[in-house]
Amino acid sequence: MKATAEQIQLIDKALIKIGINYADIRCEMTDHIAAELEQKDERFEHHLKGYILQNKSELKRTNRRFIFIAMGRAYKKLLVNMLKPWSFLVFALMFALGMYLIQSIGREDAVIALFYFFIAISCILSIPVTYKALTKKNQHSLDFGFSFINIIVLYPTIYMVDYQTAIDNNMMVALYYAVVMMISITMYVTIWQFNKQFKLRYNG
Amino acid sequence: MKNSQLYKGSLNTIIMKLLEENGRMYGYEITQKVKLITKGELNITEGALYPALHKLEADGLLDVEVEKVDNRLRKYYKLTESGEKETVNRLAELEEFIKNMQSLVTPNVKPDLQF
Repeated sequence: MKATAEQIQLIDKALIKIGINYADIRCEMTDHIAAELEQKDERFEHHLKGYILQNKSELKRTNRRFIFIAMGRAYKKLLVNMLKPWSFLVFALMFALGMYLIQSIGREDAVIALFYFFIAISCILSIPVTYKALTKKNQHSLDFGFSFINIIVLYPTIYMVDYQTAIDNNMMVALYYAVVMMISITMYVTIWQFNKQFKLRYNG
Repeated sequence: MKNSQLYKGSLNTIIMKLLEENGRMYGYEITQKVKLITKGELNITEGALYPALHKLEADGLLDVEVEKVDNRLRKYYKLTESGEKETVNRLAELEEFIKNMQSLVTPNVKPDLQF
C-alpha cells in the first residue's frame, strides 16, 4: 500500500503536534514513517497513532539532535564566511566609516549614529528571517543557531553607547562597531546562502 | 539498534560501506538493508541512523539529493569524493580492529583464516 497525499499530510501534522517544527527535519521523518507504515495493513491512521505514541520521545530526542548538529554546521559555515575576502572588505569599510564619523561629528554622536546604523542594518537584513519565524513557514533547522548570535551581538552594542566614554582610544570604538557590523552582515549572508540551498533542494 | 557500544561505534562505517556499494540510499532503505544483511540481528533505529547521517553530511562526507517519491519528498544520501576516500580508510581501520579483537578474544585461532 502506498501512502496517499492526505496520509502524508496526516504524518506531517502529527509531527508538528509533537513539536517538530523545522521543515527539513519533518520532511525526512515523514518519509521514514510513511515507508514504515506502508509495510502494514490498510488501517493507516490506527498505525500512525500507534507509531507516534510508541516513538514520541525518540522522535523528540532525534529532533533535538538534528537541531544541535545543524547549529554546529551553521556556525562552521559562518566562520568560513567570516574568513573570506568580502567579509574583510565589509570590516574595512565599516572601520573607515566609524573613524570618519568619529572625526567629523565627534565620538559621542558617532557612537549614536553607528548604533542606529547597526540597528537599521539588522532590521532590514532580518526581515526574511523574522517573516519565516512569525509565519512558521519553511523554517529550517539551521535557522535556530543564528537566532542566538543577534542577541549576543546586540547586548554589548547597547552597552557600548555608554561605555565608549570610558575608552580613551577612538580606534577601539570604531574597531568594535566594525567587528559587530561584520558579524551581522556575514551572518545574514550565511542565512541567505543556506536558504538558497534549501530552496534548491526542497523546491527544485 | 542493538544496545552495544561496539555497534554504535561502527555505525558511520556501516552507513558509508552501504553507500559505497549502493550509490545512493535513503534512511529507511538503509535500516532495511542492514536488517536484511544481518538477518534481523542488527536493527538500526531512526534515532541512531538520522543523526549519524546528518553528522556525516555536516562533515562533508555525504551529499544529499531530494526527490519527490510517492507523494512525499525523499532525501537520498550519497558519498562525496572525500567520503569515498574516508570509507576506504575507515573500513581498513575496522578490519584491523576486528583482527585485533579476534586475536585477543580467541588467541588460538589464526586471524588471517577468518577473512
